[in-house]
Amino acid sequence: MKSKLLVLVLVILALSFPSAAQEPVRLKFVGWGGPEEGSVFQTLVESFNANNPDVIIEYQQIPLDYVPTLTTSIAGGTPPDIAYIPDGDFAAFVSRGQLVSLQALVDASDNFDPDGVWPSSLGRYRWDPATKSLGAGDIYALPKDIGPTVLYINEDLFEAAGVPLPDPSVPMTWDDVVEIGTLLTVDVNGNNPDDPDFDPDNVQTFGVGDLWFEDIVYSNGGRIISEDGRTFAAADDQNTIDAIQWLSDLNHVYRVRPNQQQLASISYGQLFESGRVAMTVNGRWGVTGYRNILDFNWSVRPIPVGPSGEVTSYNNQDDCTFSGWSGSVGLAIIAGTPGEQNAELAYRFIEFIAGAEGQIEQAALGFQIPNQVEVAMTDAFLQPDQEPDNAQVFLEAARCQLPGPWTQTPLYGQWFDENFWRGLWLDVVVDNTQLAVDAFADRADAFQSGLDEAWASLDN
Amino acid sequence: MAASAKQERSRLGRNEAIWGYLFIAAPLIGFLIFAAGPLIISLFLSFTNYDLFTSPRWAGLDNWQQALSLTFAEVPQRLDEETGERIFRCGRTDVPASQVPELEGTYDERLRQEITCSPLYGRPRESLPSGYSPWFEFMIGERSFVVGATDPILWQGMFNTVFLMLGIPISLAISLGLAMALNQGIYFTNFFRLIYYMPTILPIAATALIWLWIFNPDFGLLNYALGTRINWLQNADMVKPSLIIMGIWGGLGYQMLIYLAGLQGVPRQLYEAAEIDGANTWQKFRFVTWPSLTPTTFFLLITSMIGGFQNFVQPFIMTQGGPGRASTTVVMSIYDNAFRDLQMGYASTQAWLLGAIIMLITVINFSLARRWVFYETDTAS
Repeated sequence: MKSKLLVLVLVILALSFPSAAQEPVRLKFVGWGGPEEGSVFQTLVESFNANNPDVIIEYQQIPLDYVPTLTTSIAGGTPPDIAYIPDGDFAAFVSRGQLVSLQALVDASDNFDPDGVWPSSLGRYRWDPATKSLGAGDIYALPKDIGPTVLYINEDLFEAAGVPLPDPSVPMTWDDVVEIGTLLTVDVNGNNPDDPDFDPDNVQTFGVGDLWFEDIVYSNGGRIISEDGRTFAAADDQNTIDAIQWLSDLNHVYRVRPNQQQLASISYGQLFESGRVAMTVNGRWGVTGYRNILDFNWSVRPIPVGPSGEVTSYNNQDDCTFSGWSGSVGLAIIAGTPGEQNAELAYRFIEFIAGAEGQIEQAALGFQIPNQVEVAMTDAFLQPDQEPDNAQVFLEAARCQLPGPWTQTPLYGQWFDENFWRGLWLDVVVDNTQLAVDAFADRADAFQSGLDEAWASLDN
Repeated sequence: MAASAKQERSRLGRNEAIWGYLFIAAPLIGFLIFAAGPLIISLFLSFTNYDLFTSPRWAGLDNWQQALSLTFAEVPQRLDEETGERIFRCGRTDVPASQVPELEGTYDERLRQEITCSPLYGRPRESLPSGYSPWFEFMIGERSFVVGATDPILWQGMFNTVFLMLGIPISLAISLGLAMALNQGIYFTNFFRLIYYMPTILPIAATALIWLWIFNPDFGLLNYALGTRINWLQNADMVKPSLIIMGIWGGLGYQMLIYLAGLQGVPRQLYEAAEIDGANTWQKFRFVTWPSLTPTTFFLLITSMIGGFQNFVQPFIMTQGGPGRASTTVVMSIYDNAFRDLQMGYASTQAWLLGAIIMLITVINFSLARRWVFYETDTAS
């Protein structure tokens, strides 16, 4: 009896020992996104795990409050190994020493060529701890994607009003937008905003919907902060001031955009989807949904350009016809985790997602522009058989557009949100109680001192 | 014999005392660990800078100074540097006073409106000492003034919080009326009690979402009922009254229930005595019901005021403190500092400041209470 037990124990030991030696490393990977994105990533993770027996990636979605949840999980000592890091929060995480430098791994890799990636996306994830500067130094994350913004138009509304469709290869000017917007904005009695009887409280269709301020500022050659992220540049930049004022005028002078009260009931997105807005800005991620839900003909156009004739583009490329804001999400290894101890394994997964295979898989759903220029130029992204038929616009946008001021600075909520969204924007664009030129001059010091404090917080 | 009984009793007493201490030990230890500990630590943190990730650094009174500093200054009129003439803005152009008459009332083609002119003043921030930001501006006649603070959000939060507490007396009056109505023994009393108490047991997050729709400017019930187009939540002037309306609705049921309990405790013989003396309904309320309910009113007032200072959930869900800072409360400012900006030290300072204010107001309330609150055991005065 006893000997039988002994044999059994020995057998179990013998069976388990070899496999224990090759026990795969388990790494936790977190991200956000809807169910579609979740299933794409689940598939990618499974495909990666199947081909890499020495590591098991465990994928988990955090659908709500992603950044606070990630922050507190790091502070609480239970961080994931690999995580989405939105470009706007990259500065905060990397400056606190919470991300692992990927530079050596990128250099050693044969599979991922940083030169093949849109410079405007990879550049967001560089950080130099010695000089505390963003946009330079080591790579700390690989871009999962790049999400440029373009103007989506409802072709049916153009046709109904007898307005010819704008040329997809030439950006509209502000004057074009006002002119077309006036023709396409119609109240319940059929009047346009330039009719004396126009009823702004009962508008049926709006010519213009959402225009993101960064798009309008950058496409008028304006800047919000200096290139090194240290100086608030907007208050001295006539192109920026003009752009913000024009956004206000679209509401309060030309009356071609829904006002705050109208937006309380229905968002820009819902207005466009229900066919009540002719032109609206959205990111590439809008395409997936639009293909499924829009019951009218739609296509995309470049971001309208301003009267200055200048364009603020990524790295000051001078052949950009328009610019604007593009978003991106990085994939990074969290410091102090098993992921850092097994950085090569973690990096292999990141590289897989950011590399050709992962990118083609994600692009097939229409979510995003592949981060690799070569892949983006192929039909894997352009998808000529699907809407929109002029997807080239996205490529120009991906090349030329740049990140928002929050990507280039720490503590964005504190210095920007407070002064811009809760101050200047409200007074100039929403309420029209101040001109942009005064609003910027009034707050220039507040912006600058907030920015100084944000940078100083890194010295602690 | 007597001595041993005494011994027996004291042994019993000791025994009971041990058990007694054991019973209070549980909540006491709980308090020490989960309340007193964090309390003392947060007091310490209020004198430091602490971001959760690096250890706290001593900051002395800096945080307190930042929270409390206030100042005010006059904003000068803007004058032409050469001629010294006052500068006016007509439409979008700045002109000296002498050109105003020819521009005023002309029509601007591009702006599609008649031009009006108004005098220009300097930049409010430039009139303040460095480190101060404008909190609010006001005019006295032709002169413009600015009140500045090192943390205007906290002061605005304080103002908003106190403003929102204006709903407390209104709410107390309505709930007393409801309680008296329901105390008359009308039909469906229980049904009405249920209806009015419902908001208390529903989760605030859920009721906030319902009220978002009630306040909706286009499709909302409130505008529909009133036949108005008021932008309840996104207008800086309307957002606080809107939140007060919702707060009254939410607090009514609980206050009504407490008042109902208070009404049950009013001695019947007092009403009988009053009737014999020929008192009418109003006099019975004024001289019997109201004095008998003053302890209840006092209790509700104290608890509502403490709760009012801690107002957070409704504005956080419904307006995120906006538009601008028109509905930001003190606790929202604490929350932003702590969890958005990770300034735990400064957030602790604000929290202690709020705690001190609540304590002070409560002490004042208690000392004032002697003048108007009657307890049954009081001798008539």
